[in-house]
Amino acid sequence: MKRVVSVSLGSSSRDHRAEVDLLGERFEIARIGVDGSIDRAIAKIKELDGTVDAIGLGGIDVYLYAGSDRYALRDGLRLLAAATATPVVDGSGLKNTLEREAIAFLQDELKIDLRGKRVLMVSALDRFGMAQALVQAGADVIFGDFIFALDLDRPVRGLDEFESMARKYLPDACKLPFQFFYPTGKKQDRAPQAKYPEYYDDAEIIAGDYHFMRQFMPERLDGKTVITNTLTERDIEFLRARGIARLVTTTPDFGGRSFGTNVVEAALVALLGKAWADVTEDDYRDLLARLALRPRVIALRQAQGDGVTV
Amino acid sequence: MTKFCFVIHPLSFEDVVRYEPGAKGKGRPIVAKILEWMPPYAAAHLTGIRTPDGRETEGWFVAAPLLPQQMLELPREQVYERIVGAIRVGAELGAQVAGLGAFTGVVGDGGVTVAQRAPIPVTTGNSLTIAAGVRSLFRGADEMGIDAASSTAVVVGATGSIGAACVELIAPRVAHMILVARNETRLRKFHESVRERLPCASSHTTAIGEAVQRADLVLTATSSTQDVIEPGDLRTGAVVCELSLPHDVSRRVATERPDVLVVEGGNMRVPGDWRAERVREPGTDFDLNLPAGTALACMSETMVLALENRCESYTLGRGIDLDRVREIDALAERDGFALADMRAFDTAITREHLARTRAAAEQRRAVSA
Repeated sequence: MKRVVSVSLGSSSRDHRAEVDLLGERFEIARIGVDGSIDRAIAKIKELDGTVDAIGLGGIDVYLYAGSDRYALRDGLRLLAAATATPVVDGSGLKNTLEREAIAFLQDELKIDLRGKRVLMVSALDRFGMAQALVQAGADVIFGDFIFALDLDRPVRGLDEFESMARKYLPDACKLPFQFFYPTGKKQDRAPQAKYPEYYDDAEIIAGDYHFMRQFMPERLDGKTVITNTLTERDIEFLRARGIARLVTTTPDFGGRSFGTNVVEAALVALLGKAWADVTEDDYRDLLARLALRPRVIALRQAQGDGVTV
Repeated sequence: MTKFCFVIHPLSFEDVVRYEPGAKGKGRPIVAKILEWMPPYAAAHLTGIRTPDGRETEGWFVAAPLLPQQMLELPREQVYERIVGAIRVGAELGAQVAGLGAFTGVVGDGGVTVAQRAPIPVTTGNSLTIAAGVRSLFRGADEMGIDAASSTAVVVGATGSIGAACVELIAPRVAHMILVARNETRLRKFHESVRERLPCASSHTTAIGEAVQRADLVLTATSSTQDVIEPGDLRTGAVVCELSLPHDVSRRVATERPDVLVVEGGNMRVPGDWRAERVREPGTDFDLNLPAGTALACMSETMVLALENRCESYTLGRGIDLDRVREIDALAERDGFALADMRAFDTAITREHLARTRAAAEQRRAVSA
């Protein structure tokens, strides 16, 4: 049996444990929340180092991508450095493949025409693959990173503009504590406070990190589609109550919930038995194909438009 | 010795850079984000404040480092927490009375909630600001040769707590008083409530430009973050006293209206040989962007309370007690505080500047006559 643990900066109230079979291998998968404390996360990783097969980092990214540029978060690097024997991953490698494929799945399998669809990508830096795939599919994407993380009311609408904004702000922003930008710990349990609701109102599809989108969500989001991952049953009910019509989670269901990308990536790295840095995109793609992982689609209300029911 | 603290915050991005040069060239949104998270801290240690009869005090500038926009837009509780936190820092250093600077005295209910939660008494400093502002206005009138008793005065922001008190203090010394504010209903009600008491003719209007055009003396006390008085609004030879930060008068007045005297109303000379030394870099002066030896009147009120050992929440909330304005004015005078040299648009007003302004006013009057 292989053991994979996700150490998450998120709330410990979301902790979870499951056993699954992946390509004939038995996995025990656990999530341990440290309620926003980087120090506790480091201690936990040190404790797990050498005793488990892979560690996923939840609630924080190590690397952010914009085009071919990669930016490393200072806090993320501290977490990576905490383990020496066990591979530690943040999900960014897998996001680049899995989430691109999720967009292809929407178009090819669900026959959702993304051309001209208004998409609010609440944060694209942590899911650049998805953002790129949406743009390539012809969607009208607003990149919300600078609006929501930096309070800079400047909607970015193209990949080029996004990359140049990233070059301007990321080198400094990456040095700041991660909590400045992303809700960690208790903040994940707090009621949302609407911010720039016009961007939510205008979008037909809202995509990106769940906690990030949730913290600024307006009261009503009737008929909209959400593309995200890592949702508990409570989260799904929350989205239903706000009027969301359809939910697409890019990571598959393991034991009754969709785990974070970091967990799935950790499991794949454990299967491969390689160091994280040596894993290639093709490795991921190959494994994803063999696992036949598919996004999970949940119709919460009668969808308007495409009339997709699952 | 009774000690004090005074809560400060940056009024602009330039203020942040002046205090922390490392912020220069960084994206403003990133700097704002850092400020949003930054805990309160002691920024400067103030020493050498000494009355002519030898009483002394010392204190600290404690920073609640949020920009004006953030003070107004962040969740109220978060802002209160930051301000009260700053006062706590001061109290731990030994302060027994606290003053609220700039927007920290404006947020919410004008210091009332902050005072309830703070460990020591709190004052907005508005009483001495008002006294100093009115003194500055009439000093300006003297310099420009205006006969105050036959003049028309305008108070912009008349329904605000500072403006309302200024109306009552100016009215006995002028012939006509015009009250200006943005909210017509509040303005009318306020005017109705004071009209009987005012010993001069009075009127009110929401049209700032129109009112200012008729005035010899203008006092502005709004909480606007934008310019409210433009060069074209002003009467030839007028005196404008600014009591608000950020300023209400467009900087263009400085270049386009050489015949008008603009003065910053709230600056005072502090008695003794006082200095503000940066806590983080001992030996380095804290740059208040004011001439040496001077402080804002609201800071001076806090210093006076400490010198007088009056550890009480002296000025709080929207309503101003005119008796307190007169009392603190008298106490400040006794303790050796005086109006600072005249200043406008961040520079000193020299004797030559005054002579030029008077001459430009004469010339303009001659042309239009």
